Amino acid sequence: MRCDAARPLLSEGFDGALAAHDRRAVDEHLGACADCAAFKTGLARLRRELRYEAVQDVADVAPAVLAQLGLDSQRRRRPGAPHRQEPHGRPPQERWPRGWPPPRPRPSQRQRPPRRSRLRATSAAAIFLAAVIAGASFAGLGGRRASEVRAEDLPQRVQSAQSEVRSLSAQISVVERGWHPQVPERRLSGTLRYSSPESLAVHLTDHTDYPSDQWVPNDVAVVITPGQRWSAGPAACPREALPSCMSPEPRVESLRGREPFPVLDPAPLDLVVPVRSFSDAGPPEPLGRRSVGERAAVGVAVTAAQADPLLQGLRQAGAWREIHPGDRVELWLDEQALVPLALSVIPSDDPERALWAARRGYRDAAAAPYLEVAFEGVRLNGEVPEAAFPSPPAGTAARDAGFRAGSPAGQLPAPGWLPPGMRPHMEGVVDQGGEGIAVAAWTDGRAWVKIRATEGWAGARLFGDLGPAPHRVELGATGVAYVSGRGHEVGLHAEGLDVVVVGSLTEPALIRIAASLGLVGRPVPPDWAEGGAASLEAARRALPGLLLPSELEGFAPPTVRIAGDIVTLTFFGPGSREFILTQGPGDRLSPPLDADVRGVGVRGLAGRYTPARGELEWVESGTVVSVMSHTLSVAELLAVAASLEAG
Amino acid sequence: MAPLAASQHREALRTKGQSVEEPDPDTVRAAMAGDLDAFEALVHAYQAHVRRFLRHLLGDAALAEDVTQETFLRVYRRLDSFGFRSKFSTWIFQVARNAGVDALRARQRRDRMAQQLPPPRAAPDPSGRVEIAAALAALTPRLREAFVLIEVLGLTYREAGHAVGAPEGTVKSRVFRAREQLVSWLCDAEEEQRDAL
Repeated sequence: MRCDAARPLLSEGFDGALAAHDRRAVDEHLGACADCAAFKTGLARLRRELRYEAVQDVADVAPAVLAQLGLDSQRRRRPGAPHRQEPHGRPPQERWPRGWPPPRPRPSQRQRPPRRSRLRATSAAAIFLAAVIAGASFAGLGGRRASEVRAEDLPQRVQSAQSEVRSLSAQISVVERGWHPQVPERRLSGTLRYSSPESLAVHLTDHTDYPSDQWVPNDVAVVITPGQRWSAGPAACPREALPSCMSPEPRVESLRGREPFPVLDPAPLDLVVPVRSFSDAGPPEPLGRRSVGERAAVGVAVTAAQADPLLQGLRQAGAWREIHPGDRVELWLDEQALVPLALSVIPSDDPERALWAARRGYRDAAAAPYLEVAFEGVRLNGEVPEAAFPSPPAGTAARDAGFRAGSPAGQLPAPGWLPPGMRPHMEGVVDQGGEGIAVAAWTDGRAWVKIRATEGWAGARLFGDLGPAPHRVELGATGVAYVSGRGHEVGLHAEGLDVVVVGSLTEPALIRIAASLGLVGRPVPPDWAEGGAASLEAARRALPGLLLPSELEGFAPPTVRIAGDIVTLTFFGPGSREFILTQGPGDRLSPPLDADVRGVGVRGLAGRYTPARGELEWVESGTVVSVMSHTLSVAELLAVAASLEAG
Repeated sequence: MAPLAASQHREALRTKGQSVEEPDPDTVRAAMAGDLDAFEALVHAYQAHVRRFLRHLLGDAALAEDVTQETFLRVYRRLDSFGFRSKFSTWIFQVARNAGVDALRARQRRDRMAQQLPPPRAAPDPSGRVEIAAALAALTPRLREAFVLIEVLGLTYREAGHAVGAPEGTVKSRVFRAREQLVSWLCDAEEEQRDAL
């Protein structure tokens, strides 16, 4: 193929799929022609800089257009237009336009006249969902990227939320399929009670007809109250050993001295308004609207990894089947309060998923939901009696997590700024021997923020569980902060004091709180785990020709680590969706560590895939590349790999 | 197990740059019947796309703002003529494109020089955006409008063809020629920058 034939095809290839034989011919030519390869790099650069430009918040033109048309807020009709019948006899201004949702709203809903905002901004999830329901995409065409949704104004919108879920009670029914070949379907029902800010009770009774008495029903209870958490349910045991491994006695676990809003537990809030599933989200697929019970619901489809906080919250105790992180979750939320009303988990048709199921002995029917949860009789903001949150069964030995309410000593810095409406919730000290950790939490009823500080931090890594790859943020006069990949934690390493600010707020709000503590954050010592945190620029210098995904949606910009000439980029998406891209010089893959390794075609090259580690590896132009994830399917990893371009 | 081909599963990952979406036909019908809420919903749905298209087409953010307004005024006045013969989104781009071309003509009348802009001498800008904007401005309007609809807004050749009133094949070759010129200008600019260092 000659250059003058290859280049138009290269251009066409950027706008859609080329026929396979054209693609092969072009690829072959590219391998031999540096000029055309440079042309392709140029095309990729145009694409990157033009299609994915930063979206600016600009004024809404609608008011100006309407004003110029001579149409004021009285909503006069177009001259000559026929009067339209109101099907429900309601005045037109109280309903959305027919055909709502429109395909995509303009990026910001801020300037809308308030009377039209029937879907009030109740939380970050509300903002997000308001856009989702409208079929919006936060990214790509004139939409906003996830990080841009969390602009400075968002905390304000969150805080000025007009309706709050102060309490919720509902009946839950659960259908689970495929738990065991002898028990193809299990049906459970029970209750969910929530009272803000962090009380939760889930009780489920198993109505399944089991083949024999040896099988223990999956009756579960989870009760969380401030300072305490207990749960009861059958202990999980290996599927092959069922039912003989089941103990007739339920496993009861109890924890006291629990600090407010522990980060590792599923939060009561995630069950009621699935904030964490959506706070960083890219555009999930809208499913439209329908009624669930008596309530108007909006649907979104997400992956199980994204819905993880909600799914885990429902299955905190008891014996359940596994859920594949790549499976599809169809989630229906109350249109106004955004509490979940129904969800179903449906197997994806990914080949890797089939393997996953085969290894576990699951025989899931294609496209058939294997977990269905319905919330019925949902009652919002009614009285929830104290008795709804019972104490653990008598005689249960409680483990002590070490938190004691009280006034923490002087070591806890006071924030100079908190979002409006935040009131003190609890403060105290976690005593785990040695230097204590001072804790103070605030809540506005539903959203929460917590500051933890310690004087005796021994180092080696940042205080406060910021995850594998926090990134560094310059705060100006207040020094340097570190933000976890998902943006839920902000850490400060100050003189003699290590602090983390964590909460259900947006990243900018958490950073602002951290910056208001009156501390100066210092860079961590280079030998700490976070010492390698670096910028993408530095990564490009460390490894010329660094590959970056060119078409990635729903993930925040990566956190970067550089160790010598090896660059590791971690990309975080909503829920627990994440992947790690590692690159370093080399001309061959290291010997495989696992027995189960398969050859795959990656970017026209021979690569290998290791299912146990969820890792895809190949060698390309003197660089060993690996894309690894436990929550993305192999198809998604291949798509990430295919989209990599030298950045 | 057979090796998995990346292309087979390409759609598994949602990517940016999906095509501009169509509105619910009921919203369009309601707007045609005079429902201002519906019309406003359409403005909200498309203004970002239209503004972006015009900003690149005109190379002037303030002018693009004015022409965006003008576009929706025209959309409102001509809703009756839409008639569902094409996609609503491409019809809007057609209106925007015509409004943009009118604005370009008006500007050219003011400033005849605009027709003879030389290929740009890019300012050294690390982000490259200034360079690209300058290079875009140097394309002929025909190449530029086709290129912006495809590259920036992600329309298909067919949709862009509807918007600019040209066959698909013509759009494809205009987009290619635009890219050829842009890439060569950008490479020249980079070389100059390197030589200057």
